[in-house]
Formats: sequence, structure tokens, C-alpha cells
Amino acid sequence: MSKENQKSDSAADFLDRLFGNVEELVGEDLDILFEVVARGEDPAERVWVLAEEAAVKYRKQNKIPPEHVKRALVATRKGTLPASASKSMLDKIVNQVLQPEHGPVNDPAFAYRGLREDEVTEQDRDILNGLEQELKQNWSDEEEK
Amino acid sequence: MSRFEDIDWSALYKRLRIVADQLCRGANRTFDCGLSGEDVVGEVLKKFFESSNGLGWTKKKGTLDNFLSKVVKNRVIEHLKRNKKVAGSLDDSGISLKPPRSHAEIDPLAKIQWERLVTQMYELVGDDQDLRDLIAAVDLTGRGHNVNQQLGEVMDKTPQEVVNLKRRLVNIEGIRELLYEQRKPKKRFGG
Repeated sequence: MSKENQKSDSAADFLDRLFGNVEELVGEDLDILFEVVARGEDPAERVWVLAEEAAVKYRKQNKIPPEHVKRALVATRKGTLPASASKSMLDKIVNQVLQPEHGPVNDPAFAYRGLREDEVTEQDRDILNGLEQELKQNWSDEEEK
Repeated sequence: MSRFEDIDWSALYKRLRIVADQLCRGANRTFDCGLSGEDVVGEVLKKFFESSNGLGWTKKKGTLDNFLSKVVKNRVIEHLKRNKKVAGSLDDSGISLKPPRSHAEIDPLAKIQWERLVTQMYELVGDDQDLRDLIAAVDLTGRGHNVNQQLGEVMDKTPQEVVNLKRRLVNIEGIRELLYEQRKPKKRFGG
């Protein structure tokens, strides 16, 4: 056996004596030893990626992913905002939220959001006045109640 | 209640990684054309998810952690055999997951290496008496069950205090490298 392997075995012996049987490892002991052997790996992310890959295969075959795949996906789903998100990433998210939504909108009032005064036509003005009247009517109805 | 309902998937992955790491001892950290313990765990979990019945696991077969640990063990052995690192039958399913017998217990040269390792650890922890006591306790106790209890009895500490000391120990600069990083294969080529 080489000297390097001898050193490795000593280190492995030490870890065995420090942590005991891996089958019995629970809680913090499991976390600490995992940090030693696989620092930087994200267990939940690894499971999620593998389960997601399998789920895609099932869907491609027009099959519903089995329960263990679904359970793993739900349990290891990534958070919407990672704790490690950088400032630039957070700025990007906030800016995107604050930007007006382009395209069709459900409420006609929002269709005029962000328009400059000179961009509002006579027809638009009539619609806005109509919406304003409707709103006032709603408020007065509320007050009467 | 579903048999998969109470599975802690992160803990399962951690255990499988540790098992794969433990079994890869003595071999390069990458083997069988560059495959690593991490890859084997990925390979096993991939097969598990792609199997519509989860490789046939039921609670009657023990915990999912132990069931998949055995699958990881068999895969590591197959890969190591291809790399001619171990000998034996591919059908041998009786290999224990328990760590191998300490080399320091059977080999005088290994005993010297063990003493060197412990000395290096004492140097790294410096004057921290609690950590020196922990290293001494590890040196005194054997491997086995309830290690926190065993170490705690030697050190007159509670199991939780022992766990906290372990965390402190592996966070000391140089300790993790001493216990793990030295096992990385050395670069064979320049650059």
C-alpha cells in the first residue's frame, strides 16, 4: 500500500471513530460529515434535478410520474428566492416587478397606465371619463349603504 | 399512508454520498474512466426515480436509506472491479456497510501514520483544550455504536456537547483538508 493510501486510511479511521456507523448517523452528525466529504454540494438540489429529469422522461412517454418522483420533487422544490441571490439578481427581480406589464390587460383602466398626456386621444379621454364616473358611482353607492 | 411520505430526501442524499465516499477509500476519488462517488449516487438515484416502483422498495425491506445504501455499495463495487481495485464475485451481496477494520489495529506502519495524523491534528487545534480532549477521546475509543455517548463518557460531556465539538473541530482551518482533501488525486500533468 502506498504512503498516500496509508495516510488516507488513517484519516478515514479517524472519521469512522469520530462519527461511527454511517447507518446510525442522524441530524447534526450527518450534516457535519456530509460537509466534510461533500462541501458545497446542495443535496436538495441534486435530488430535485434527478427527480425532474425522471419526471420529464415519464411525461414524454405520456405517463404520470410515479409517487416517489412526485414526492421528491415537492419536498426538494427550489425556493422562489434563493438565500444566496446576489444584489444584482435581486435588483433585476425588483425592476421586473416594477415595470409596466405590456400586452392585453383585464381592467381597461390599466391600459392607460404609463401613457403620457399627449398620447391619450379624445376617444381614450371619453373612456377614462366614463370609468371615473363609474368609480364615483360605486363609491357613492358604498356610502349610502 | 404512502411509503414515500416521510422520506427526508436531503438526508437520504447525504447518507448515500457518505456511503459512496466510504466505499471509495483506497481508490482514487475518481475511478472507472473518471466516475466518482458523487456520480455513483447520481446514477443510483436516477435508476430509483426512473423505476416506476422505486426499485421495488417497501418498508418491509428496511429504511429507504439503507436499501439505497446497499444499491450504492453494489454499484461502487462493480465500478471498482472494472478498475481492478477490488476482487471478488459480482454476485456477492453479503458485504457489510460497516466500516472496514481499522488499519491501525492490524498494521504497524498504519499505526505510525495514525500517530502522525493525530499529532498534526493537535498542532492544528493548538491550545483549545476541549478539542484536544476530543482528539484524545477518539484516539482512545474504538469505532462502533453510539459514538457520541462513548466519546461523551470519556470526556465527561453530553452527546450534544460532543456534536458541537465535532462541528468546531471540522471547522478549524486545515482539519478538513487533513481528513479529506489529501485523498484527492494529485495532478499528473503540468498546468
